[in-house]
Amino acid sequence: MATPETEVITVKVPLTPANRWYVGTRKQKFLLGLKDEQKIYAIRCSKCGKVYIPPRKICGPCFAVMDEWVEVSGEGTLEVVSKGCVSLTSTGELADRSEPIYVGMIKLDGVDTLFIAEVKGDSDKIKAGARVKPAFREKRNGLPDDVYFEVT
Amino acid sequence: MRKVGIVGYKITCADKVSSSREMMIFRTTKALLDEVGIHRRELDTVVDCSNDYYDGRTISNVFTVEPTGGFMKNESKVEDDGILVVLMGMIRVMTGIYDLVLVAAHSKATEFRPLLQRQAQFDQTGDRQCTDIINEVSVSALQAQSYMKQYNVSEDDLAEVAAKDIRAGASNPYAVRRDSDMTAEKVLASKILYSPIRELEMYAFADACCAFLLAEEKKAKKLAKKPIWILGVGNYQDTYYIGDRKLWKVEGIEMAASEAYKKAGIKPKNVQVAQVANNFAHQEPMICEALGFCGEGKGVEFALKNKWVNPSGGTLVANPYCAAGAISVALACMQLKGEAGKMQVDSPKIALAHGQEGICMQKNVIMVLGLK
Repeated sequence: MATPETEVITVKVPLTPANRWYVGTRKQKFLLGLKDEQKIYAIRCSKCGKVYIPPRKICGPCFAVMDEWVEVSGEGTLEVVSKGCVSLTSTGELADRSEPIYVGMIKLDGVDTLFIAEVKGDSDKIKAGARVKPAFREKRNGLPDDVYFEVT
Repeated sequence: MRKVGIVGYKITCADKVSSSREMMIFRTTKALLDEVGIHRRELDTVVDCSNDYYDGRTISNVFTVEPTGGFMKNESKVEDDGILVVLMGMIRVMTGIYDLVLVAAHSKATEFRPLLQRQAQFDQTGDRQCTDIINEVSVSALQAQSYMKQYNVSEDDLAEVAAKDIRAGASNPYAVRRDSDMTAEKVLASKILYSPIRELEMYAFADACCAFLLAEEKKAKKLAKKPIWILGVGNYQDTYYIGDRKLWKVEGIEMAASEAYKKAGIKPKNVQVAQVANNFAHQEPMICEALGFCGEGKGVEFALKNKWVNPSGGTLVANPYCAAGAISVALACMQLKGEAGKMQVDSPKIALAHGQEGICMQKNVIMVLGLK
């Protein structure tokens, strides 16, 4: 007689990849710039002139390697912003936050693409069109969120 | 070029399928083969579709050879959305090497941590670690904000679209989220995740398998009374970096649709039913615009007025990773065959299916299907 299928036995296998990724020279300068120099580097395609952030090696449309570094002030304009009321936990749930976080897409002066970052300041002032300036976290980990932006 | 027909399809989709993945796949493919009336030995090739990150094991199709019917056959796997496996099956038939192909797309969200494993799609050298600001919901919210800003779309508008789809879900036997009394007010009252996206404006997780049998013209006519023909396909991949994109529109869909229409010899106005992958409420109007169904910024009004856009509620009401785009194709076939039950729209002759993959609709496939 067949056993009725009700609940499967749940086998939990930890998934802990131990990769040590080579971030590449472009990303490395960007991340170390944030962490060690508190500076923001973008990269320009010498073929089309477009300035990208975060920096990466290849301009997709031109299919060309980029080498031209551009140091930007970090001042810019908030294009769009979302108020985050949850956070993604280490177990994959969306847990309520005690304080909201504002996530923005910022058009940095002198850069052609938009940068995603946390925006802080008076919540009434955090809206599309606001001018922002960069600020660096006290504890920096060599990650894109070492920098956040304050509305001015 | 050889004409490719869909001779059969099967969907298994629920909030929880209480069996192993292998049995879920086996039951789906067996039911399909039985319905068409063939044995697996008649299959020329089998293509599987899932994702190693979701499956939690590498080259995960080594375990699905038996349930897909691929034992000791030419077998391979597509690691992407399920509409890509239909495309892969189609290409295999078009080569002239294979006459009959089985494809199966599947995943079981109840067996992994969907949003955590989904986080693996972000750049591992930085973005992935910044979970507070960069996750699937936050970046989709930025896309929604871009769309709202560009076209003066309100949160109420998006809630109306979500409510319409959840009501449609009540007629969809494969929906996980279903409520015939859903209203925009209820959507707006659901928890805000990242503004403007609320809980009911984000897709529902699901377990699913969706399988197809594809055949060349003669065989398709022999095996099915009413084969569905793949008339045209377009497939475009945008950049990963959402800051590079015009985030208020989906240029990849515009290009994919234009190619699919051209191959099918149709115009957007000829499409009579569309099953699109609206993982978030704001994406359905964006997709309608990109497909050329209406002008830019007119997507909300269009989606609300035209019941033939996502009569199933789309992926907002059930988004089983990998299987989702295949289910869009199957639901479109169902409409053409007049087998869509309560979801059925008036005798369509031309249907469109859409599948997406990547953050903020990075990759898009458009498939035009017809009865002739």
